[in-house]
Amino acid sequence: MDEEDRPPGRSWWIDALNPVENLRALSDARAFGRRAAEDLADRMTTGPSDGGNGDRAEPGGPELDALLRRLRSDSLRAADLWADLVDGAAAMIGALAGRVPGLRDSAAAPDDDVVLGPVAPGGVARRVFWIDNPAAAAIDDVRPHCGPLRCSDGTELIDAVTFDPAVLAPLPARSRCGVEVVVTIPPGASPGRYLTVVLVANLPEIALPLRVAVAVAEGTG
Amino acid sequence: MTSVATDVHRHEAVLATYRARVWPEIERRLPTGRPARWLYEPLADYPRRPGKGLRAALCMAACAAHGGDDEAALGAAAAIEILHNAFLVHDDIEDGSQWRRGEPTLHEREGVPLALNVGDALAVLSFDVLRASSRHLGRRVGRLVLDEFTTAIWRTLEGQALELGWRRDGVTDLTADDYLELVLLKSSWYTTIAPLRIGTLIGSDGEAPLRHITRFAVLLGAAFQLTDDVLNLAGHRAAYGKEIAGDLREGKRTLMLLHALANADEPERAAVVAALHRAGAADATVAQLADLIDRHGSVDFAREFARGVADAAAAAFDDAFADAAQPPAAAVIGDLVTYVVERNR
Repeated sequence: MDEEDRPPGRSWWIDALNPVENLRALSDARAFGRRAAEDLADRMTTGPSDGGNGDRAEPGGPELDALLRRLRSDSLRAADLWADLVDGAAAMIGALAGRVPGLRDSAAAPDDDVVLGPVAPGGVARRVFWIDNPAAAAIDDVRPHCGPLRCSDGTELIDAVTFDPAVLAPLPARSRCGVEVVVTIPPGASPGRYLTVVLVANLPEIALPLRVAVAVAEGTG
Repeated sequence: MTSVATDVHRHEAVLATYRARVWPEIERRLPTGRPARWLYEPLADYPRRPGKGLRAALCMAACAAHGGDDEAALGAAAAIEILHNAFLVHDDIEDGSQWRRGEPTLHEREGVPLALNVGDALAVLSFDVLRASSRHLGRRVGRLVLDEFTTAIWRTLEGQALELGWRRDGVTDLTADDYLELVLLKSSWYTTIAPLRIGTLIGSDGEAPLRHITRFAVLLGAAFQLTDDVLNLAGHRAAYGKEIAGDLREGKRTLMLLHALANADEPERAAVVAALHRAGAADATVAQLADLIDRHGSVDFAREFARGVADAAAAAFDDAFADAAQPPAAAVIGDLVTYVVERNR
């Protein structure tokens, strides 16, 4: 069967490994190889068909999509490199030696508390935290959210916290995505230590404390 | 026009120049101490056996192609090569291999327990080297490189688990798509994808788009592993450095085996499937598999198939390096497409 004769969706190997088809010249094996490898590369680096109208979805298959999201977040974050290097090394050793059962078994593994500041009123603070999906299946609609930041005297900062991206839809299988938390301190905010907890829809294991220190406004105090 | 053999020698000479630059960095990073006899001396064994140096060359050339000083990628290239050696130590144990780069495998020399420990040590060393080199990259790019490194490790471990699981549980109802997915995970991620992506990140200070690079790397890695499988069955041991037909003895589900099975008659197929369910194939079984593969032209099929994959890689190369700041460095990578399928080791 020639390439152009193959019905849409019919996998190349059905023909390549067909005993009857296999009587053909070896030059066809080369064509099969090219086609098969390109299919593989397409699966990894482009999205699936949109379901029948013949158009391809925007490039951004699960693996690559996760990578691109992560890179976008990376461009803004300033996390602690060396601590993560140590974590990575520990994970590597454990994985290779089989001495850390359950590592990355949970649906998501949050970093430590997110601590920001001190930030002056009117300022903005950012930090990236990580959401892991080590499972073989994607998780739909992963949406971080939190309540108002609250100080010990009961003062609240309403709508001060946003997330970028606001939603991961989906969080691909076997991927890790950086989410940037952005805290915008209102100009008139009182100084103090504020706290809230970041939760993530569809990942109930995650409860990530978010602590923000608001400094005394410049020109006061 | 040059012959294929001449081209292979020329490409190996290019790889040798990169290896000559990376090796001092690896040597400099090899730790010493006590117990030397049981840890630090065997730790240096595999790194000191000359390999192809493909991963280091891809990393450094990608860095240069994107406008970076390829010295900036030296540490990452060394880390990748050390990680490769860590994988090899454990891989040889898992496969029960006897030869590596023309010499007895580490576990044959030192025993399995010590070899396992050395493999762990090499993995940690790879992170040490990467951490030291990341200090010169800046925090953001350093973090990106680390992410690439750990991602490649996870994917490789997943691929290895897949292959070992198929063998342990006697899984034979596999398609060639399954095989290619396995190749992507167990080999391409750390052989081509991570080296090219890391080199690109370093060379472009984290700015270059990676999509087309990744696509090219997937194809190059598949061509590399397919050829490795062919060499395992049809290569010359002196050049290949490993025992020939080791994959058959280990019951690895290669494209050649899948092709031969698909073309076998039913009694033949049933006998082979039964043999594959038994761990550690006997000589008679290996001979049976080799005969099956030979009669159905499966080696030739796989070799041509690999060339087709290389064709796809060559076609993807132009998109991947269309915006290369240093085309001569990119050309080094492009030339390796031919090499990975025509090499004899």
